[in-house]
Amino acid sequence: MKTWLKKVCPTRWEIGLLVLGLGVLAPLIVVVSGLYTDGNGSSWVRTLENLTPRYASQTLALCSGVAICTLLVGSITAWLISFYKFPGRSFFRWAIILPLTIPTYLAAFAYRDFFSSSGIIPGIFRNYGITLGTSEFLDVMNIWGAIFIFSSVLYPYIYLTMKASFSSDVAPYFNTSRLFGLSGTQVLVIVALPLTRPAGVAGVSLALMETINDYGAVHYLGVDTLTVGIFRTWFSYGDLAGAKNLAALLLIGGVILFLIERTNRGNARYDSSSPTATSPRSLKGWRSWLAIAFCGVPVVFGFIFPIGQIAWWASQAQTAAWSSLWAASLTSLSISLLATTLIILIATLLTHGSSTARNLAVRSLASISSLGYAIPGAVIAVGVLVISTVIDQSFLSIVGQGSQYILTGSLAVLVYAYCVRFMAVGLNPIDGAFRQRCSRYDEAASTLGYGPLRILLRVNLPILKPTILAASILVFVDILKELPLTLILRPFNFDTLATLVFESAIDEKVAESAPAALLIVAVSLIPIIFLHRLSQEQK
Amino acid sequence: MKYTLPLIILCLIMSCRSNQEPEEVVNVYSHRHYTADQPLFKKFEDSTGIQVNILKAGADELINRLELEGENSPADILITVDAARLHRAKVKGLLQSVSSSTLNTAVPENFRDQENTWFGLTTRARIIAYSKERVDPTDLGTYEDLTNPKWHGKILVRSSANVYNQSLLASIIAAKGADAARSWASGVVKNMARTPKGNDRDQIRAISDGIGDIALVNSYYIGSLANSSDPADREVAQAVGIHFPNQIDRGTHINVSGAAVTANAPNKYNAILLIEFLTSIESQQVYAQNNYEYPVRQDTSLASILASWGEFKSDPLPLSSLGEYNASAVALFDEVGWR
Repeated sequence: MKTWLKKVCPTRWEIGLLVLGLGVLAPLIVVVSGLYTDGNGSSWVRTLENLTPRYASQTLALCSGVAICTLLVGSITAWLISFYKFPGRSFFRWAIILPLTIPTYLAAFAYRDFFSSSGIIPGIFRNYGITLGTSEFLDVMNIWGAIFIFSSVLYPYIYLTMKASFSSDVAPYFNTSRLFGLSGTQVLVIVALPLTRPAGVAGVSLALMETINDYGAVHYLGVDTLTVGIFRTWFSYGDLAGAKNLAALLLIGGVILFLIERTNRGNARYDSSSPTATSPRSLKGWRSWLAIAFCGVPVVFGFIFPIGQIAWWASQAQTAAWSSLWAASLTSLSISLLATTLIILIATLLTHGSSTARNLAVRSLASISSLGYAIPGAVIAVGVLVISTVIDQSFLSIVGQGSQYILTGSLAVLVYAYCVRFMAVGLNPIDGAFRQRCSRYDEAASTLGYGPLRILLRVNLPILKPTILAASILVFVDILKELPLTLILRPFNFDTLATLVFESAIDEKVAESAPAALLIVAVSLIPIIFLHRLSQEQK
Repeated sequence: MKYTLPLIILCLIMSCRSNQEPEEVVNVYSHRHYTADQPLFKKFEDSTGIQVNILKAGADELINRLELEGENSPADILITVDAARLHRAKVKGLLQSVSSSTLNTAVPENFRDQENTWFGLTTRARIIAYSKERVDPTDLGTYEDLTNPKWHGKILVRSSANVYNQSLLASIIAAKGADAARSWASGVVKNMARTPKGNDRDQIRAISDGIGDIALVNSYYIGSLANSSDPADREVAQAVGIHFPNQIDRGTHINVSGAAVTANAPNKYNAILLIEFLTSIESQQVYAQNNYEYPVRQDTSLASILASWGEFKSDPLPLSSLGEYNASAVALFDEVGWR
């Protein structure tokens, strides 16, 4: 009887996973279903005729530009770091990831000032009494500026995936190829690039998902992407139906990117499981200078210049409200920690469940729950708000009117929204490592009589520990920088560092936000350094 | 690992809102995020003992949230930086009418809703900032003059997505009709120095950088630049002059930043007290001195910097029109290609 039941019914484990996965998907379902109830034919016609061509073409242009630039920069730096020795290599190995600590909106504000007469360089000259002319040096407030700014802070995604792929997939063949007489560049083009294509595509997809979701930077720079279109249709026109239509288009684009990333990821991870010794070759003379330049330039543009500009603002700002800064830092830290723990927990469970379950629905859950990353934060916020108000109102109808909402406007709802939005960031690396390393032990353990939970705890978790740590760090930093979701869903008297920066910037007092901005970067630095030391231990 | 899951569930339960609000509170949904406001709220708390809970976000997001929350929304007050959004909230039934003689005396009729659903806290004028070295102020006259070909390639203004521009166009629609407004907007687009980008402060900076010669901006930004701690900002403010358009006809377009009591406010009395406090003489002076906005109270003495800009005639158009014509304004902007 027991065996028959076990075969037919979904196990407790599978039901639990289904509930979990659906919980993460719920806001997306709400938004998509809104397309059928709210949107009618006429709004779709207007959307497709007036709105889509401009928004879609700008989005495509931005994505193509960012894809090409990040791929170039990410691959070349990863290649140089993996296989060559040159002065400063150990420094660049972690410095190259630094741009990840700078949110795109902050980079946009910083570069606008940097290339104008109120930037840090003219400012320093002004201190010595020299005025460097009054014209704008470079106008970054267009699509080219946007491509440049996004690429400079997003290339580390490609760098990380490519580097991991180089060490595990290419390294075994590197020395052999050299033995056959291929030069370094030839190895790169003929051997390495085809082998690491999946990793490159995976990294680029992640960077592009970040790009299409951004609102603060593209709006400020005057680039009309689909996300800008959604907000404008929603806020300026008050046309929620039209906005949802655009959100649907964005959702399709996001799903496509997501599927591309999925099918190509394969062995791509953020750490290497079996790093083959690459025995990096030394570079001499002009080659080593070239390598330093190639690695140094992204760091300078992605980190040094923006930080310099922000530090300049900080030095110019009159007063900083230290008490609100302290409170906001504590808030940022605690909510990021809480949400990160939850996301990693759910991601691990979903990954494990999707491989051990027999049910197709559960198996695909892990993939589908990552979709939230492709949706703009504000759209998720609407979905979450609808769900929480429905739950609250039905609860109140049982208990009786007159009492306050429990869920809506609470911390729990915000944390839940973070889970929906950032599940992909935790899921992707863990899932990748899982497929690579864990699946072969599962069957063995299962024949020994271990149930799924025990397999997870005793067998897989120890193997996955480094990946889980790496994924936690990435999720933590992402939540710390998050803005639109936090703005819409936060409880009363709740400020994170990101909201402080945003409010000063909106108040058109960008310089006053400098201390908060520096704090975001400082706090994000800790996990990045930790991540670096972690990868060091593995070598 | 054994304790992690229960611990997390415990944290989540604790992070849900507790039903006990120990003392008197007032819950504010505000689009204003000027640093001048926080000390005012603190002062209110100290003098009345009522705790002020603030949620800051964009006005549209707040209105959307109020709609979704419905009857049990915890919000008592909605504060926006533009009259059109207040009107939108009123039309959606999210506000309630308030009868307070203090408020009626403090806020003149044209700065509050006719049915007393919202009250202005400060006003701001949409002025023309011009380059002192390249522009002769006598060449400037009305908003309508901006379509003159002599300004070709010289006008700087921010995106049409911003409410300040929408309300300006709405005031022109109300004054001259949709067709005249359309040709005005299209004329301005032809004279733009560049595609709209950045905020009002960026337009002023662009004058100083030589990209354009005149800009349509809100008055308080000039004050804020002139008193900035950054010397670069102060230089920028020195380089531009202020012109109040339409002094010979209807007057310069003004907008209000205002507060309203929400329809289902749980702490209605506290909400009225707070709005009365924000329109008191001391608070109005704080707005003028720290944020360079014009007070709505006519009996407040003007801060020196505001006085230095001189008196000006303001458009007496009822501010609810800004809300009524907002949708047409947005559609017109789209038609003429004002990005």
